[in-house]
Amino acid sequence: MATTPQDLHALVQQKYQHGFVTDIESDTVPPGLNEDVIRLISAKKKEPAFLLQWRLKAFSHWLTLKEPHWAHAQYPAIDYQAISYYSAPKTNRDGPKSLADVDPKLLATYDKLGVPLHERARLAGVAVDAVFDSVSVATTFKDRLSKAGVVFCPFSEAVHSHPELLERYLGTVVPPGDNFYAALNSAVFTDGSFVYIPKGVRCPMELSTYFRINAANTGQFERTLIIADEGSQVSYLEGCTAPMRDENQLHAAVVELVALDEANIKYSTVQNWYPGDENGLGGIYNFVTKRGECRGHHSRISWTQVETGSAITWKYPSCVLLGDHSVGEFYSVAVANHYQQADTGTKMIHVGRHTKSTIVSKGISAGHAHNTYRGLVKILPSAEGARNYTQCDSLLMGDQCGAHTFPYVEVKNPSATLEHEATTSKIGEDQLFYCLSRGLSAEDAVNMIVSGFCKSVFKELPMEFAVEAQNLLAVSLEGSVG
Amino acid sequence: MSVSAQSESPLARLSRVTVPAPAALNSALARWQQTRLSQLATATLPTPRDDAWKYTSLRSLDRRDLSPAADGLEAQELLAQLPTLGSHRLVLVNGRLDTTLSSPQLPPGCTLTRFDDYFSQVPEALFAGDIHLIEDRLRYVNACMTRDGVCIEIAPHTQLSEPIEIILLATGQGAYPRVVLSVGEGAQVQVLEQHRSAANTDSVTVQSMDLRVAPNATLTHTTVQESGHQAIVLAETRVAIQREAHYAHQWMALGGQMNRLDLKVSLEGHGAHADLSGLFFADGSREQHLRTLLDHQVAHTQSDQRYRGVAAGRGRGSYDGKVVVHKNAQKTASSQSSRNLLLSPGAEINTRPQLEIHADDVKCSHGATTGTLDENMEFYLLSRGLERSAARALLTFAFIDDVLKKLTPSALRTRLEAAVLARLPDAAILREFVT
Amino acid sequence: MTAITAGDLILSVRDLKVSVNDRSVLKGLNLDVRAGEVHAIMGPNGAGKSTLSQVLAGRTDYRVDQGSATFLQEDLLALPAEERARRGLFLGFQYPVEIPGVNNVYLLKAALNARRRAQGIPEVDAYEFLTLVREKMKLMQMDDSFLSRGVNEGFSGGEKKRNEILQMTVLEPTLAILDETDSGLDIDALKVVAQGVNSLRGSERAIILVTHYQRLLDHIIPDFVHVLADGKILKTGDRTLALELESRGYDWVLEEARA
Repeated sequence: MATTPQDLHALVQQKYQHGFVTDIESDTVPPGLNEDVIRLISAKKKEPAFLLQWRLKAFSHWLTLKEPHWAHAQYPAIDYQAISYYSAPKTNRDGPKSLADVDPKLLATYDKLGVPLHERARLAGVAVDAVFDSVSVATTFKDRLSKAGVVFCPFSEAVHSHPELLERYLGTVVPPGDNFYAALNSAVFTDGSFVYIPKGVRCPMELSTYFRINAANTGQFERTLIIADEGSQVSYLEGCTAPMRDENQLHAAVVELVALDEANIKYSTVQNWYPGDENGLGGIYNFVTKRGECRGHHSRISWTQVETGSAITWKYPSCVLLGDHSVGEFYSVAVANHYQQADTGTKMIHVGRHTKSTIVSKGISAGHAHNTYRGLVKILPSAEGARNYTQCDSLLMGDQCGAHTFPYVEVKNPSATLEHEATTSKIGEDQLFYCLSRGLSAEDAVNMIVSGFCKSVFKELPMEFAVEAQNLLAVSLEGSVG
Repeated sequence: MSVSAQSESPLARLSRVTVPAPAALNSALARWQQTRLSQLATATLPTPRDDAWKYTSLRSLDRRDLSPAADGLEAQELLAQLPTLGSHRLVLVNGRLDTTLSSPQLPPGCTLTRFDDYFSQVPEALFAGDIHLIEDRLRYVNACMTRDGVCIEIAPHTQLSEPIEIILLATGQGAYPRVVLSVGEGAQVQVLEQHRSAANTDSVTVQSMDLRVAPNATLTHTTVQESGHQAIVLAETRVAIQREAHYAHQWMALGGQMNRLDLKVSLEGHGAHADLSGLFFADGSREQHLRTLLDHQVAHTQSDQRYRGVAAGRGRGSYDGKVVVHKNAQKTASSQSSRNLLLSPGAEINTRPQLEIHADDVKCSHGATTGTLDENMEFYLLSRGLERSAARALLTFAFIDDVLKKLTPSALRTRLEAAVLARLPDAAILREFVT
Repeated sequence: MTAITAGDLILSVRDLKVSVNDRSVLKGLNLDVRAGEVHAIMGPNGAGKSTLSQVLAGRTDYRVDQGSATFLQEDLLALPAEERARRGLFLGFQYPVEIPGVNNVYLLKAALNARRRAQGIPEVDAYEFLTLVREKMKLMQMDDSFLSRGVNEGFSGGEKKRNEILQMTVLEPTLAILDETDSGLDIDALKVVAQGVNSLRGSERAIILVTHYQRLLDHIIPDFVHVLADGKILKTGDRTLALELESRGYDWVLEEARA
């Protein structure tokens, strides 16, 4: 892989200046999905044969699957033949030409979040030649990682630089036929991130797609694979805390995590895709499959997410706890305002002995939104001494919204201990009044109370993320109190 | 899958049964049933793929004969095992009212009507659902097969000092009891529903019960399931609670091979309160399944649920509870608690405490725990010289008795405590602890 | 079983090494306790005092790595907890657990009869038992409501400790180990507890008081005071040692041991 600063510089220059443009002109595929389209995607990416076969198998399986429909999500049908499956890197040319062309509401939001000026252009999708500081940031960053032996690169690069790791691990956590959207993703994914942390290595910095320039605009079928070898540690940050301009209606990403003996993976997400306007028009459908396998003993996978964006979110970051004494964690804040529908939760599958899982979910519903926690904790007969603690709390703001909790708890081992608690309540009027009587504005008071409600999740986020997540919460809840 | 006689749906077999008996052919109920029965030919039983039946498999019905059982000779014998808890008793044998075994009359203020007659006045009381919906499927089966059920009407402001016992005995294959109970305004009643079945009999009961609690009335309803170890009982109880009315239900699921209750409660008037509690004990290879639906339709309603479950041996149990708060049902208060004890490696317990909330000014909570006996408690008892098996039995009993000890009348409580004790090891030592 | 008389060896612990979650807590402990004696084991927090009590009572989440414990000429460590209790070993818990739904007094009766069966003497009937318990409850200043309550259910800290001593006075153990029985007690409750313990002193049994503070020893005068620190008995003396520990702390004992 390209590891020297010069290589990287060249790579960045190529993509941003010329690469995409020529690609697009020659490669845009007409809407529709069939085997030929998949062969074309694979050929354009010069993928090894095994990967093409893998895609085709996923595709033929996808054809047999029925699109899922949850009882609490309503949206117009998606026409899968109307989507262009190889036009992902199109935003540079099609996007606004300058910040002046960007929706002023979006800019106002950046202002509130304190996004640096030069970043605003990138987030809003303005076609710029290169992003100011990012090259040097990314370069020093890559240097440190390669010294530690950490592999962190685009998926399409890993296909060529580490085909053996890919062949060994790809699709082993989320099989291509796992569900409708995972199968679709497996057939047509265009890019994503690949991470490998070697044995005993503690990744020297937090890995973030934010710094990886070419991670932007990877399109709607993103695929991430993270492998933490024995005794290694990594913290991965996904997404960014400002709303991303994005033209794709449907997002169907797949994330796979593998933790071997005593490895530790922390995966944090702040998802703030376009939620649609206050009347429920537009917005992203975010149908994501995220799963980690604790394969080794004493391994640990921790998911932390702050979900404030998208018109519809279906997302259940899960842990399969195979190794003895392995640990799975899920910390989530999901905010749904206006006409958003958030359906999120987790699955904790306990297979190994003395496995432990913790679930903390905080759902906030406002406006006409629906927020659903859907979770499964399953203790298999082999999971001697397994433990789970689950807490799901919902906060309701406004009488037109909904909060739903659908937990499944299945226990087949008598030495397991499981506790599940949930509450649903309105934002406390006496708390609000107290804050108002001390001179706070209604909005500040709500923000304070909501932040307090989410505190146990925010403290799991890396520091700089936590601050931004709080700001984001405030922006998301704007207009939710009269 | 090949289509063979073996794979024919039990309902399809049932559709060819000649029912009702020729003598009753002219009743309105019989005519309704005759025109609808054929629809069972293409209907299937719910399977675990249906969300509401995720934890209950009805595969064992494939091998059972569901045709309505004739009157059984063992009924009297079964009845003799149940000490009377009052002087008002209605006995349904294989789903049909047996007047010779029942009390000659109900107390003042209570009117008994045969369900067949009630149907001719209120035809929609039989089946107002949709046969195509899995949710209504078993009620439809009951509607097609039921005969000689009972309808009890309690006049307004009636106060009964003794409970009304409704005893359901199964002595043969299929039983399809139908019970309608309407409690008038301001009345106060207790109903004890007790299930028994003949030993070594593959009985299948598909039961449907409709209860209405009028404004300001109080209905205390206790269901005691002590059927034999081959009995399958699938019961649905639907309850409508009106303004300021109170409904308390206690579910004591101790017997049967497989026992399932779907308890659907509508809180329809301001101030309506449902107070549900109970326990299941799934030992041996028994299955005990409870599904509750608390439908808060209007503001200022309250529901409380407290359940305990124990699974031992290869027993399986489930609690699937759902609370729905409708859009305008502000000031709803709802609590749900399910605590479960798993005692052996082959046992299984599944819980699903669900909240579906469409109003904002509510206070809803649920808690569910599943685990084994507390090891600190166990060690404390061992350190005082108790045998390990006795210590475990004692802790199990204490867990169960927390629900049992609230049962009324006390004669019922004492009898059930003894019945539970008899199924635990070291009963002799434990008996001392029960006072 | 032959009668025990003053001076008979009741408990003998030799080179006992115990670990909890792979952390070594007791690191070669020796202790002899004879009939008629009262021993106080003192030491700083985390020294292993509670571990010693729990291991002797038969808790299984501790791992015995080495050494032996002999109780009345039997290998104590080979016996399950309930057998130890029946042979006359009693542990007064530092934190007595609440067991809702299990009646306090019936537990005591079951415990007493389990002990009597093991001793080969007739079980007590309900009447004899109640007479006995009422007498002991008076001594412990407990009212009749304790008879009908669940084991320690809703008891205050002081009530729990009194209940432990009540059990001890009824069961009349050969060896009583009282783990921090004085903690959380006000002075009046402490006197009541001490009175209960003193009522049991005699030539046919022994008592081990595990405590952090010396004030209990003002009311129950020990024959020996041991300092348990760093997983071992570092120093043994008489009552004056307790007073010295109170004024000087534990550091000097550790230093002396290192020297």
